[in-house]
Amino acid sequence: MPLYNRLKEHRARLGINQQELGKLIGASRQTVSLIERGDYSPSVTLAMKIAKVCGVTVEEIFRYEEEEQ
Amino acid sequence: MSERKEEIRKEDKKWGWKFGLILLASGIGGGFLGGGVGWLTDWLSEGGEGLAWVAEVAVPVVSAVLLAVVVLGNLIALPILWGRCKKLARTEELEDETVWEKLDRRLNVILAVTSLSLCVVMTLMGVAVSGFRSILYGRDDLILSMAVTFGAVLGLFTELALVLIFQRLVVNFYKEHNPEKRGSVYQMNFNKVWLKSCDEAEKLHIYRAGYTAYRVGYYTCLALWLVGVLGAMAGLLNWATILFVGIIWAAMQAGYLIAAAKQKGDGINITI
Repeated sequence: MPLYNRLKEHRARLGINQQELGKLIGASRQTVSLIERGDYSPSVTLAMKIAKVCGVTVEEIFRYEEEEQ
Repeated sequence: MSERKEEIRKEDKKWGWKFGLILLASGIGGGFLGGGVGWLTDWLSEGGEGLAWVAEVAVPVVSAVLLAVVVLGNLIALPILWGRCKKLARTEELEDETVWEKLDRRLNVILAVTSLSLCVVMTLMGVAVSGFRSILYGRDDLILSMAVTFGAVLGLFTELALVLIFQRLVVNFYKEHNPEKRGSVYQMNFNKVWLKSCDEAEKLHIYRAGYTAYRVGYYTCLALWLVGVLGAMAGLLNWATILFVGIIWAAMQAGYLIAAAKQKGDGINITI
């Protein structure tokens, strides 16, 4: 999967667990876990919700590897 | 455009050969299968009464015994599996993601065991009660036939109770830890309500699994149709088998086509 992310890092910065982040973005804990592991690429809507909760831009959390190479 | 057409033609040609070879191999295989069925028919016609006893008595009795084994196995295994989940949820730190992953796997095992067991038990129960007709004909094995029939019915109800109890426990556990989840296992439209409360990743997961199930069902129907046709030709099965396979196949295809037609032009909306 070419989409890498720093979600775990941003979540740690906020001091919340996966379940709490899930609640804030309207997703389940399992989905947060999948995104953090890079096993699931979220939709644009969900990525924007995550960025909003973390107080950063989408690009600061998600990185498309092929594009950069 | 002509380049694209050439590309398509080449691709068709490449796969066309393989398709032809598969058809040829299927034809040869079918020939052998047909010959085998002919041999089986002759062999069975020589069997006579012994085979009738197998079909009317032995198969239902064996099914009832297997049903009892499955139900008893579930009666022992499910409380143990659930106990392990509860222990993990209680003693370990649920903040730890690896613990959650372990817990998810264990809960999924319970759901898989209950779902598959119910299919197996319902099938075995159906086969077991097929021996019931012996009662109507007043055969000597009336008591055995009644014991098998009522035992099978009791087994089915026990399994239904087990499925309901343990699936409710798992669903309610998920609901407890995922407040957005909706639906009660007692609801007739539980699947619909639950799906509605799932997020995009969960919906995608369910749709993918559903499509895999559709494909597996399609090829299973194809295989069963072949068995039904050959069985009917050999006189072992009748047209009802082919009709049932056809109904399941048509229902599955119609369900797929209707769902596909209902999708809007912008595709499946899985956003939360």
